[in-house]
Amino acid sequence: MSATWRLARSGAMAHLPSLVGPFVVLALAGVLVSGAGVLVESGLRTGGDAGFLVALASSFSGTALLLVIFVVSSTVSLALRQRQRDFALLRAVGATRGQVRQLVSREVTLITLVAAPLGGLVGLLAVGRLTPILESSGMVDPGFELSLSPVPVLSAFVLLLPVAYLAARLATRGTLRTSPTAAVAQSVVEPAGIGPVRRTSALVVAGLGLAAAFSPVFMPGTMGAALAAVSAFLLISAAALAGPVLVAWLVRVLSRLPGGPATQLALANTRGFSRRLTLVVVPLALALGVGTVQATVDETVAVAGTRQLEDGLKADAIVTGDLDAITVDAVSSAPGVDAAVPLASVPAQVMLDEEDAFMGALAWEPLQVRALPAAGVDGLFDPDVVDGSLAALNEPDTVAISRDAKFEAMKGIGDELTFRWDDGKPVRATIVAVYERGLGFGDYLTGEATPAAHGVNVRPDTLLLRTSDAGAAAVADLGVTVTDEQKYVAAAVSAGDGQRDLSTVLLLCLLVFVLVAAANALVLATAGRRDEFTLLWRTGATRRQLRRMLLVESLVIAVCAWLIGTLAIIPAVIGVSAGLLGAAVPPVAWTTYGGMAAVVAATPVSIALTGKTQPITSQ
Amino acid sequence: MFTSTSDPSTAAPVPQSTAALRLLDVHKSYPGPAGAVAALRGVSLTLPAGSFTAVMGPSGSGKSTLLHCAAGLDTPTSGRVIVGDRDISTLKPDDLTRFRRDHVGFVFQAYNLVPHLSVADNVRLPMILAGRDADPRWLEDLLDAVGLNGKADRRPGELSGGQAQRVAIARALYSRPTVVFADEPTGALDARTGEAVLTLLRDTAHRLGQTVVVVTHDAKVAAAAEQVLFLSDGRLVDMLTSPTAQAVADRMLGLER
Repeated sequence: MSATWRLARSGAMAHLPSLVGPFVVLALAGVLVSGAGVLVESGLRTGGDAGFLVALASSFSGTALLLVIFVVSSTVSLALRQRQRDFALLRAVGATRGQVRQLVSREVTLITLVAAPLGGLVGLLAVGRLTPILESSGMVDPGFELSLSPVPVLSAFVLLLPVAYLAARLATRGTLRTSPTAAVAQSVVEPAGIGPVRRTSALVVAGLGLAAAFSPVFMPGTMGAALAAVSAFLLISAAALAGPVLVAWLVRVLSRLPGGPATQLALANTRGFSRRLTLVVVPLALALGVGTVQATVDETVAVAGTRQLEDGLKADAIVTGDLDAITVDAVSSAPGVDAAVPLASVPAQVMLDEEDAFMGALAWEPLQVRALPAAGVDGLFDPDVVDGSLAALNEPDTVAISRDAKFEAMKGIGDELTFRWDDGKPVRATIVAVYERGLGFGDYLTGEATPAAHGVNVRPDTLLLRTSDAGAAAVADLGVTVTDEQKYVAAAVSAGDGQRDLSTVLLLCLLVFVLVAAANALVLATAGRRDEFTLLWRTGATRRQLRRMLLVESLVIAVCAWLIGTLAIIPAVIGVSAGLLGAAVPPVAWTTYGGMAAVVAATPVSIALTGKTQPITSQ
Repeated sequence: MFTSTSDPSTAAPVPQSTAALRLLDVHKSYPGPAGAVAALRGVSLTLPAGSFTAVMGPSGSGKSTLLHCAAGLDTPTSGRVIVGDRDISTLKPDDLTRFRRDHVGFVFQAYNLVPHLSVADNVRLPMILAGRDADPRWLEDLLDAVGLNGKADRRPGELSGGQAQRVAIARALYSRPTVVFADEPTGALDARTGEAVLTLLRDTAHRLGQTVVVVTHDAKVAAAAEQVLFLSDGRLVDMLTSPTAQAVADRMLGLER
């Protein structure tokens, strides 16, 4: 065994307690990554109907990866921060910078080597618990089984290793840049302020975050909403980069508060260690921000969809159910019915760009296409056409697309999209109209002729009626289900509840991960301070004062996290509601916000109350 | 009073003709809130091989900075530092580190031992880092010489302050460096332990023919050196050869006035 390996191993053994944190976080990250991997893989292997699963799992993986990278790097960084003095000391004794880097990298590799596959295995087994929710949300057919293979476990390892490795390199950068003697001195007190690189990146990321938050104003529908949901993440990243300055400023404002010696001591501590504080505050702010924004965006999209349906449907009564031609005829000719427009829903898959074909199953987006009758919609169904005409849908192989889809596909009237209907053969369809209300009516509309030309038996499931109350009663006498518009919209919106439940469960998994990391960061930050407590105790601080000091510090942490998290939410909330709803009171997900805010406050305080303030009294 | 136990006629090797350490117009300033703060303002000195020099001066006179720059732990803002026949002021940081662990020994006031390594590993650490083969005989001899035989497997936490500083001295001597620097090596020890540690440093270095530079506050410690350099406000202001504690104390009083 080489000398550096031996040093790495004995260093790891000696600092085992401070490595438990990164280990737990890396293992949990392994659970998340491999769980998401299983979902994607299962969706890909099942093919066909599980396309929704692929789409959902991919978007979940995206958010999960961002969080994992962020949280793992900040935990590793915090754990190594405690040992800066050790590294400085090694440098003073004659370790080159390369050797210190190697030492740290090897330690991190050792931990990842054990933690990531372990977490990956747990994720592989735990994700099976999602099967009932997947089935109830209609994402997969009943009797669906997840494909379990070593690939997700392996990918967890392959992904986490470089993340942890890079984080370790970054964490030791400061120590290695200064001279060994300066590093020994610096590890006792942190340098104030941040460098120009960090400041510039903070400003750039903040700018990107604001741009993302207001993207729904320029970008239609779900695309803009999805980008806005990322904005909280970007803004908090910017806050993390600017952290030392931001936290120092916040604490300076707070320190004008009156308080006893313990309070003053706590505020002095938070001032002196703004970097450490940042690492603790950021995961908490992240939990609050990401949780609230995701929930708010989901809610806003649902509200906007409801409103579009309400505005776009002009029917007096609506018949729903599996409607055959005889029923449709019977309803249409019922007394008091002036007009009846049958709508069908046809499963299909769309590929926006043929250049994506190399991606295989991932290139096809599964969806339900609304099929309009050849006779036209008679003014009962108004998707708010902005370009082209719905009348042109009577030709086979034509579609109308929402502004959302137009933006995503970057195509317009006269361009072609590739569809797969029931027979599974790719066929092209020409875009003949573009409409506004995609959130309410879906992204694609077609005429009956198009699916019919590809062997689909187009059966209406909705019949829009222009009629009187008496006419509606007469229709109900025929033995079909009749509802009014309001009930129909409510039912249509709640049909998405299963999927919303599933995304709530997944979001919850992410939040649990972030909160564990936050708690972990707090424990790590307290554990590294035993010497400080001892010193204070020797200088005359009572145990009670130490405890109070920790409590005040935890309150400062909670307030900072709450402020940063809340500030990061505001642009996205305004942007999404302005873009999707126009001038309206933004529908904030208050329940999620309140719950997360309470958890954000409770986490540091409970850790402060249970934490060890015991000074080392012997020796 | 120190009493030397070694016999120079049998132990001291022939001094080399080259100087062990040369500083040429060394300046060092640190960035401060109100512009750069000068710690050294042009220090030049030459120390012959095998010499034992003490550096004294009031607090803030630049003693530690001088030592750090001379030992390659810090780089001077301008000027040259030559250890043996190598100009180290132009070396890149990693090359400097490599040079340092082979040719420079350093004893810190705060011992700076790695707590999770055994005494033996701490002493060998610079050579472990250099990837050199361990020489168990030399380690044993050295631990014997500093009075730590049988304690090779202890951890620094199990040692007294005097013992910890002996480990640090053994570590500084282990690579048979050209120059050994000590920054107030007795500062954290009581008078008697400090005296013993200093005697040990002086005698062991003398036996190995090594050049020693000690920064100290203590006139008695300085009096044990062959010459004393006085530093004030970043400049060398005085020098005393074959010092006595009284003469050193008088000069210091003069500087502090």
